[in-house]
Amino acid sequence: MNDTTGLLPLGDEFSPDKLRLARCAAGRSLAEIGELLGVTRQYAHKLEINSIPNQSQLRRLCEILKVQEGFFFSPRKSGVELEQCHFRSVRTSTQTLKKTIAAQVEMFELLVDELDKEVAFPAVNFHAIEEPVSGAGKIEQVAERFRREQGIGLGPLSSVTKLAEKIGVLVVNLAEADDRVDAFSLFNKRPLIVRNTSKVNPGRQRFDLAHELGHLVMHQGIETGCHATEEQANQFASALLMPRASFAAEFPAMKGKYLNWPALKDLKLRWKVSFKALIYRARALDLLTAEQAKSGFTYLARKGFTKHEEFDELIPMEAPLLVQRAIDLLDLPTWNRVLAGAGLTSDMVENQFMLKVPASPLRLVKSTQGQA
Amino acid sequence: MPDYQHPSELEPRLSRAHLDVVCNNLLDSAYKALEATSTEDDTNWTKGIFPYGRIHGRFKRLHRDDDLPWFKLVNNTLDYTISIDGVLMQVVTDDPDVRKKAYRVDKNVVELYHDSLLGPAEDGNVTWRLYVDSDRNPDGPKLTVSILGFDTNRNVISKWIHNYEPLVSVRTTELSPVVEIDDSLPVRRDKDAAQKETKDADLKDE
Repeated sequence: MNDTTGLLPLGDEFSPDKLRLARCAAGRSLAEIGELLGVTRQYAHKLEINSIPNQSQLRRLCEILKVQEGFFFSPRKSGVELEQCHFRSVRTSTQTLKKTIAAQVEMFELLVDELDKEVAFPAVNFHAIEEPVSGAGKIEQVAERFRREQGIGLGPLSSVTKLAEKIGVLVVNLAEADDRVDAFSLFNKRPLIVRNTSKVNPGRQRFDLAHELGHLVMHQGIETGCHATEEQANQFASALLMPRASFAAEFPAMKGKYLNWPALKDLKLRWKVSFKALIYRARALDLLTAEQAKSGFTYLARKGFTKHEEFDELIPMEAPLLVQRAIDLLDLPTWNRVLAGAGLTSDMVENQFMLKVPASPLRLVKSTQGQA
Repeated sequence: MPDYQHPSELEPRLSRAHLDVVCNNLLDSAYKALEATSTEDDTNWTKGIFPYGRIHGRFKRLHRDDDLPWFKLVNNTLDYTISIDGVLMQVVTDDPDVRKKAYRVDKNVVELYHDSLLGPAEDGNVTWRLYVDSDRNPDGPKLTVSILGFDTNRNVISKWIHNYEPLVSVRTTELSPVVEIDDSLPVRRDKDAAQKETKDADLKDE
């Protein structure tokens, strides 16, 4: 919008698609937008088809949806479709919530596109499997090959987040990706993993990330969410986090018919996974019988260790760093250029993507003349 | 409550290394016996007698082991007695703090004969006992081994609880080192690179 004439910029057209995108990302319904604009729901719907908002409506939309005016005057490039996202909790998350998250991811990609003009992220450096993978044995090999290609040996991984970022995957926190969504991943221009920010169990956070890496490696172009693909991603995560050669050698012997919990504690802290994941892995590798594994799960359930487990507090939580580091490299004018290019606002980036943005070092100070 | 020290403070031949081997083997054997006696057909008698027999059997095996010349099983009777570098010790299944089997502190024939042969020992004829106790936890009993030393008046003068380290059946002796993943650092793009190249080329032309 031209500040002097109050007219829309010449040559740029209002994009109804971008309005829909921003509305979905903000998690607003058409009725809500209508109410906030002081128009009917039908008119709000028309704005997303072929009507053009007037100047005051446009300003109000920017306030509500936390975007810049320029956001609406650039065409929507490539949308993030739900099928592209490897959502885990398919059954528990509602379609609306999934649309909101998908829209937020698309907004995040706009930001990354602009950041990419200023900052070079690590190159995407992993081999995605072309042919369908099936069978636990095959998945073991895929995970082993992944470790071999990345040159990371067979020991416990210090940080799965850093590993993902090292191979060019951007890991992002979305404020609204709560327990109903879980982590998910997608691969458009650059692979992305969206973390569930509500999980406080560090072992499960790591497992979720490894699970998503499994989708990125094994399920390119495959619609996921069914039991088979989720199971495959779980097997990949298990095999990646606990390679059979090294893990089997360390798994403690039973204490009679009981699991050796003190030794399992050491194993949990060393491999930074949950007790549950340890037992699953041991069962998969035939280190435990079905009965022994079952008694282990029963013990954990009886102790109330479902979402939280004992000694979780001794494992540090991981946090994504790459995108934040990229933003930290920028001075304020460059950051403003990036924001303008993406059409986003600092407020939105801070609140929805949980990133810290550059701030002006200058502050308004009160004049001391009056006092003198 | 007296401040007890490790038995080796009182009897140097009861070294930490030797006691660790004996106690770990005892517990390994006892836990395996507990597993074997967890069927529906087991009774208190089998649950008591089986670990007893298995521990005895493990000590017989250690006695035959040429790598442990310091370990001997000196009698084969029900009150079997082991010798750790010449120091005799009996195994008692009882609570070391509330001892029901008080008579097990009495020296047996082997110990009395040993004392009569050697006369007053360096440790003042301390009677050593290895107590095995269970917390009877239904989720998985935890066994504790304590080594107690008694003086001639049956006062406890040494008490030490063994810290069990399971004999893990490892296929490798070295643990894989933790894989430290380096931080990924984005770099600022050099947008002037193309211009610089042109300038350099211009300079060369001159």
